[in-house]
Amino acid sequence: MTNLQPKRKTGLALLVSAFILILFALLTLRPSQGVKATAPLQTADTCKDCHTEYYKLWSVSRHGSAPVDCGSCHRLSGEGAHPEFPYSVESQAVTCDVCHSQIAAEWKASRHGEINLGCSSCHEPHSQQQKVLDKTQLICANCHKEQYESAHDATHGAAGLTCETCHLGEDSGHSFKATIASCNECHSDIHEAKRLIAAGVAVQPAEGESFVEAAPMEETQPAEAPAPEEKGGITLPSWLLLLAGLLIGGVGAWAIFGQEPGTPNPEK
Amino acid sequence: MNNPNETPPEQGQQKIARRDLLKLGGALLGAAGLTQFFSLNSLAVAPRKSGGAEGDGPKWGMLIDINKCIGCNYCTYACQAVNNLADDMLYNVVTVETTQSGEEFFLSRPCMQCAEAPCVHVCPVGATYHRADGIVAMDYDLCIGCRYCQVACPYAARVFNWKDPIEKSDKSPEFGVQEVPNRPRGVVEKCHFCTQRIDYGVERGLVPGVDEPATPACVVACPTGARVFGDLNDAESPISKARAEASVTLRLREDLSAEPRVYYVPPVANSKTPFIQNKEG
Amino acid sequence: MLPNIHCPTVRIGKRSVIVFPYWIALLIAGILFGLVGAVTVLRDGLHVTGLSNAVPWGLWISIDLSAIAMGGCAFVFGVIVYILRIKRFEVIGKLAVLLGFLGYSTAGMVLLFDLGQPLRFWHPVVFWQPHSLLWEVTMCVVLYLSVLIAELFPIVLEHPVFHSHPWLTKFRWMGSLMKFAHKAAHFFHGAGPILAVAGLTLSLLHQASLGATYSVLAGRGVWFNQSAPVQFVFSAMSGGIALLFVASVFVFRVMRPGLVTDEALKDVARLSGGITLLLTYLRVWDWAVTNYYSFNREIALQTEVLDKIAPYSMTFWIGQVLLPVIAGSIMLGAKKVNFRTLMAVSFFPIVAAALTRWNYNFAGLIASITYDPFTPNVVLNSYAPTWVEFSVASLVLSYWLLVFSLAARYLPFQSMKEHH
Repeated sequence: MTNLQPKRKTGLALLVSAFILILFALLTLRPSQGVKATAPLQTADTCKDCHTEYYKLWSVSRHGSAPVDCGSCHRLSGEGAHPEFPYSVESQAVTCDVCHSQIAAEWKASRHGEINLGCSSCHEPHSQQQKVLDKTQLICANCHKEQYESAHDATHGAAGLTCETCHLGEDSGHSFKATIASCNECHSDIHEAKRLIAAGVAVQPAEGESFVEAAPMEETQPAEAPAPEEKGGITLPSWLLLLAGLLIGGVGAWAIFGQEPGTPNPEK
Repeated sequence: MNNPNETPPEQGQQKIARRDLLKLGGALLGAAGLTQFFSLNSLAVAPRKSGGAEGDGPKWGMLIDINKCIGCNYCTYACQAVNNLADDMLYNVVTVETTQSGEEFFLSRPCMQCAEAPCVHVCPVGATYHRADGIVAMDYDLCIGCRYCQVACPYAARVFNWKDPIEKSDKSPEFGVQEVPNRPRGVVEKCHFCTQRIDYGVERGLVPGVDEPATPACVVACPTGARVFGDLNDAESPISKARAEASVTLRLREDLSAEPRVYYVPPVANSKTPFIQNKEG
Repeated sequence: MLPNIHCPTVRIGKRSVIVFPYWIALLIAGILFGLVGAVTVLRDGLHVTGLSNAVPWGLWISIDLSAIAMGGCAFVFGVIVYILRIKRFEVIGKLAVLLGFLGYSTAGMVLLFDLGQPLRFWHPVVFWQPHSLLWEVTMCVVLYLSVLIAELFPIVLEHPVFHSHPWLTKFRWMGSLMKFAHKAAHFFHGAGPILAVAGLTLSLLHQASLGATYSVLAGRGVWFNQSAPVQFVFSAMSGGIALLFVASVFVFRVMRPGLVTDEALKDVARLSGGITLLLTYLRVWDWAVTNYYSFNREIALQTEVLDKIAPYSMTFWIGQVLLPVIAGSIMLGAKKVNFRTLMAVSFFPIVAAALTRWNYNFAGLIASITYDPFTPNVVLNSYAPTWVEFSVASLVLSYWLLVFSLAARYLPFQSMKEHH
């Protein structure tokens, strides 16, 4: 047994050093590396032939340049195994939140987090960009219609400011809470601005910003919608009425002034 | 009719009554010397039509919580992407409606998948039929495009293919990719509770309503979880739990006895949720 | 040979011009115009029409139903001629069969354009769905059209061209074919009573079911009533027989004087008049029931909305009630009235039958009930037929008139028994 002691000693040393190494590794492990560790395959090259559209979106995205590829989110069950279904994605907590922990924390505290309106509600997961519904408006307007419309008609909207300007700034982040800092970016001297407006001086855009032409007030007034009973119904062309009139008139005239049908022709 | 939370015994009684009526009708028709006629027909199409309203096994249903709906239309967009639908051919629509007290709310409407579906009863060729799991599905190879089902549907849930199918919906790929083949011009289409997902999932032991790949796209896409899907016959399914949890549920136009399988949680009066917008507010 | 046929003439100055060729040319022009629309709709699909998901049935379905109604005289006269065996109507019965055939073939033709998948028109015959009223209607129409063809066959074969054309002896196969055809015609003629009973059954079934097609739809309010099937049957009889009266005065009294007695013709008018009055009585009661006895908020809203569309209420009270009552009363007293007046007023039941179908078709579609749970309302949908729809309408109407005109000009309605 004694001859085994040095081996045991080295074994113990190895075990301890391995333990320390693992501990060290765990302590220093970056979340992104953690994701990478669970998806060791370079999957994007394999997937792109079929899932071209998603590949395109991904390849130009930030994930495309970071070491986050298909397998990072679509967990594969083994080497070369195809995911069970295109949507076999783990929950947001183990995909997005792992890396974007700061944003996740902000989001959780927001109203969006409260009702569990997740990342993919606004972000297209492959491009990570905001989802596009209409090229001219942000996805925000899809739900916050009233706020969007009122902002659009107001000075801020006319000045070309979008939701993001105030609600997704440096301070607010994904809490979407507008802070005084957002206001101060333009209205650093609120009293000065007031004085200028009172004096009738046109408000100038802040540096780097540009005004879009403000819509005249008349146009912003929503037109009174006609009552639903007023529109609709069957529309027939006027010539049909003319045709019917001719027919009725013809038959009527014949009935009053015409010959009895079938009476022998006077010529015969 | 005002109590939407029907207990199973009541349903059983209804079932029996319906069966008796059917028997009576059958006897009368037999007297008319038409039995041959009907048995021939049942031979011809029996394999597909294993019961709409009755029978064991799962009956898929949906519950939509109006209080949670924010009118974002994601259900519609996902539906468009998955079924490749043009903007004027929506299976699922979200409209703004009002309560009796004038509060506005969003009403999202898929096909109701009625147990006594008017569209199934009127289809002259049997192109619209009940699957065994209760889903009202379409056989696009049979449909002649007479549009009687459209006329019969009280929910305006059916759309006719007036034009050739579109290349690709502009909602794709952001809200999903096409999962079902295109339908030809001149047939009537409808929401089918994403049968392709249900069938795929059930084959692989997934549970529709629980596992996303087996759940209809609109339910998966809903960002607020306003839509709950599952087996109405299974007390443990998400929908049965949600129905039990909700103090009251309703179905649209229950007076018509079409027995829809889509339930709604009505908007709560004076609710503090921001999603019910008061007209005055 | 052929009986002496007087073609209608028009005097221009001192010349007397036979209208027939010009009339046929006009109808062919109508068919050519119709073909343009027909090709357009078959090539481009139904989006070229004014139909929509809210109003999926429009002008064509109305024409389809009206055409079937106009064929309603055939089953009535099948019964009169073959079962009641009233001899003086035998010749008129032949015309009734022709009108029946024309009505049903026109309906089939227009339906072909209305289907989204015209090539699958045969599906109901093969893929049965007996719960569907439309399936039942389709089967009845197909079977009845076959009955009508069987009834029409001997009538057409009585034309001398099928008996004594030189080709029949020149080409032997033609001769033997004709011999076979005459045998078949003889068989069908012998089967007349059976065909009449079949025709009566099928007609009552599908004319009623056409009304029921609408009236089973609980979700559409105004459609959901019990009297629609009865009304459809009676209005098909009243309109169809009125059309038969107009046609038979034209074909017999004008073109073949002496073939049918004036009394027999006036009896046709009286029959139509009586049924028209009965129908109007039912119609007014139905209105009262819909609007008063079964007061229902949705139906009240629907009627309110419909009344706001001028053509709807006007066509009901004037087109379907007032004028048919006047016409029915005059026609009922046909013995004292001259043919000119009778023919003029006969148009009212015909128009009323078409209007009933037009209004019925649009009532539930144009004013449709919403499905929202708390404040259901009635919305007014819109429909404006496009030129394609009028074009196809012109096609089928021209077809109807063309075949009728050719038959009126060339068919011998006289029995040719001496040739047998």
